[in-house]
Amino acid sequence: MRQHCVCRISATPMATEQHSPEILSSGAGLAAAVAIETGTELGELQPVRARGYWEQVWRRFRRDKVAIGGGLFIIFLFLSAFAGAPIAARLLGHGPNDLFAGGTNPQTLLPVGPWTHVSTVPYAGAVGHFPHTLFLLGGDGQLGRDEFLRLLYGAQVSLEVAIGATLLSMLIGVVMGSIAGYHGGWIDTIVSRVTEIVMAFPLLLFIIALASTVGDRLDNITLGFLGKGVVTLVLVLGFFGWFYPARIVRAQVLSLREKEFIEAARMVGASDLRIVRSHLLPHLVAPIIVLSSITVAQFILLEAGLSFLGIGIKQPTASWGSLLSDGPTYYLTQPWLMVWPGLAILFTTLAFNLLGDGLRDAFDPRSAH
Amino acid sequence: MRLADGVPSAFDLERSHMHRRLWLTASMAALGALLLVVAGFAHAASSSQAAKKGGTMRLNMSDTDLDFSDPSLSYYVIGWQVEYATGLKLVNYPDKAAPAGARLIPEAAVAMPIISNNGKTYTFTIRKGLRFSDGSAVTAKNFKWAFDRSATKAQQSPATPFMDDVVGYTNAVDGGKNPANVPGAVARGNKFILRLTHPDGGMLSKLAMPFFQAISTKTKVDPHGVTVYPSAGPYYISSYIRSRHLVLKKNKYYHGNRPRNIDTFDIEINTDVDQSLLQVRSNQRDYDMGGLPPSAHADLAKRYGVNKGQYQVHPLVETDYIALNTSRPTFSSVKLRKAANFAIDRPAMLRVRGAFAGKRTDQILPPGMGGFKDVKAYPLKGADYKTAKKLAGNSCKSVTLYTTTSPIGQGIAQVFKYNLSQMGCDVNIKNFVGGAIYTAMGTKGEPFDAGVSGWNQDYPDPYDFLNILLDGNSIHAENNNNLAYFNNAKVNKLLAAANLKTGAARYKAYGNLDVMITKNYAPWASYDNRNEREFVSKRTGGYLFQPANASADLNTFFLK
Repeated sequence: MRQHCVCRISATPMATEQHSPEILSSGAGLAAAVAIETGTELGELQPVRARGYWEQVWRRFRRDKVAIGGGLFIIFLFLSAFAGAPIAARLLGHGPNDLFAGGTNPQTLLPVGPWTHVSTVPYAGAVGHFPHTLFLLGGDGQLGRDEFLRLLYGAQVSLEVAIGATLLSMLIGVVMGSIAGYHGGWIDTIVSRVTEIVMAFPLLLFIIALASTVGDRLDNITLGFLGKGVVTLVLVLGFFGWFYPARIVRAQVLSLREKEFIEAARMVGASDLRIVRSHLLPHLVAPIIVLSSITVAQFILLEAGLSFLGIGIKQPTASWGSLLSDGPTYYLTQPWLMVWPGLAILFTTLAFNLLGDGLRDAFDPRSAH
Repeated sequence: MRLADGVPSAFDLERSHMHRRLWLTASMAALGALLLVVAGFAHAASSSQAAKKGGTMRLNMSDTDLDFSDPSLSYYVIGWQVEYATGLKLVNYPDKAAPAGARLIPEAAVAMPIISNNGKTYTFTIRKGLRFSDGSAVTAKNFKWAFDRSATKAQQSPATPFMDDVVGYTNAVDGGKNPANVPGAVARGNKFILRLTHPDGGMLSKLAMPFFQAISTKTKVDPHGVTVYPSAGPYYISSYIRSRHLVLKKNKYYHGNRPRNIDTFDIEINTDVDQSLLQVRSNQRDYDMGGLPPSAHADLAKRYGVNKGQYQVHPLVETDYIALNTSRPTFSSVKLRKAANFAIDRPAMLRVRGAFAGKRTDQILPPGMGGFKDVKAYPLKGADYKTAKKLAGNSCKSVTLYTTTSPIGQGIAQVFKYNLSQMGCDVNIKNFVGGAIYTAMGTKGEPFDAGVSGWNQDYPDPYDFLNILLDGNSIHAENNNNLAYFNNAKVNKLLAAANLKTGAARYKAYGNLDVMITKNYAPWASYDNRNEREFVSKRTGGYLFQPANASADLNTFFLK
């Protein structure tokens, strides 16, 4: 599959090169034919570098402007969440969990609206110099916290959960799927039945039960850098989200294990582990990447849903789901409190899905591009 | 039992319109005021006659549930709101607005009791013809059974601290017999006799608590609480499915003179508070017993006015506080408890409750309570982290806070967590649905360091706050009211001594104790004295706010 060789063929520079997107090494004959068709001398042909598999994927992918847009949005999101949030907090002079008396309207005690300059005075009549700070997207509720900063820090949590859970579920799924597909027989039967049990497992009820029993203890595991509750969600979503990748990987491996190159590897005495690692896994990279991008989006939605229900990330740690769950309280008076986290979730899931679609097309050699 | 200020305790749409017309037509302010007073009295006298009878009211009980429907166990404001409609007591507060609604009158008794010269024996004569909702007769034995049932150890009733001066009551509790027999509570024919170890000026108020209503002898001892049982008040509990549904129906055997206009109260439990507000607004439901979203009050006041119709605000004689568990290592330190009192941001906590929520406080006794002395113990305007840090040093590590799942419970917990984090404490929050928090916090040894709580007067005497909530001698294995588990021998002695005093000396003693406990021991971090805020549907004709019960009086509701 991989085509790293650079084949020199004696052909004139092709007028068609700029228009023809892919010149394969095996296309030397084609180049010659084109040269003939275009009336150039074969001896005038310049060397043409054959494009590798990943280069072809990239060339196909970069033509998909929508997928590129999705990818750029995700990069922007990562930068905003992990670099932008602390910078914004430093510039604004407060954190996402800081409470401000000025974060609510003194008459109605409702959160202030977007672009409000909020006094940092702790209480009316306090002595001293208290500068104003800016609430770009207004207050988050009656606690008077900065909605903008909470949205940025919420992105950190959502991404940490979604990516962590995706990595874990993919790891388990690929291992289980590969074992089942490669070995077949009773191993396949056992793995398939376990997969079906996990598929049928009432995840939501399990999470509710977990939250009300050992949830508090699990939530305190932060590994020193993650938000409270992130590890719990990563573990739960990862351990109960691997069945889909497992099924896909199993199906792929079932098909691949009958191929000649696997037979050849077996004939030269390669071990099972080596065959899986060196010959099967490289063929699974494409579906894993595509599936991962879509799974990240699903886990972002799931995390938001769980936090919305109060069984995900616990306050005061900001998450998009918890921000969204505060929204309905103010939907008649401050509807934007539902809009900001709603848009963040919408655009992020859309971006990951578009990226996934684009990658799927790019990995498919039969793609129209 | 007067309210803290002169906010009207009842509303009627027609009445408010009449007031407005009077104001507009009165040419002289004095005459206008006089007419208003006259009109008010005229209406108060006729409101029950004008009230339309019948119909079903559809209520919600958002984000909460009864702790118990069992009369020996129920000790939650909403539970008492229901039991005010279902119970029949020896003496009771009438279904009237303040001040009349805060004065005890005989209910099951033909008259107020005959009290012996030494003040230690109360003799009640029970009315004839009283019946439970199952048709059985109410006799003196049913009041005796209320005492015996609550004194039965297995019943684990929170009523026990109130009756420790009834002869043999405490021994009956400690004896552990099932059922108990309280020798000081005697049923003899149609007489119910109560014998005390010493005079108790608050005894009649205690008897008006739902614990001591007539209880059918068919209602057996049950530590988990009975759900449906015969009751002798204007209504009875027809069905109760925990966390789901409660139905109150008219007791067809009730022939007393208390009002009862609505045929059936259909109450959905644990509804969503935001959705519930919309339902009441659109007349799909009529009233939410669980309260309103904190964010709704400003808008409701703007739309409907305050105390002018559908939106009502009434001050309560209550205190909201964070109980600091003195029996656990963290808050066993007085310094740390004081530090917490300096650290909490009382205005922020009050803001969580929304507009018209009440007033900030740092004391135990609320302003409406006899003996209350306003002192400045801790900052009311905001947090004083500097003093808090100085007091706490590096001693505060981890604090486990119990709170409820309601938006207010969550908000208060977040403010507390943030405030204490400023003095170096890491607050871990544990959530409970509705009254379950009191079951947990009321269990001795429960691993909490602090708990979000509030206390509404059971009856208008400072004993109900200081002795009931802070007397270390009343700490039991379960169902404790002393949520700070505060047990100080000196304070216990002073509390007992204050209870023996009467009149002005009693109030003075309790007032001084309030200040002393707050300043020297700080078992609570008090933060507000709350208002009751209610919103009813347009099709609701009217109702009264019962000041002694601190809630809307279900008996007086009527439809247009």
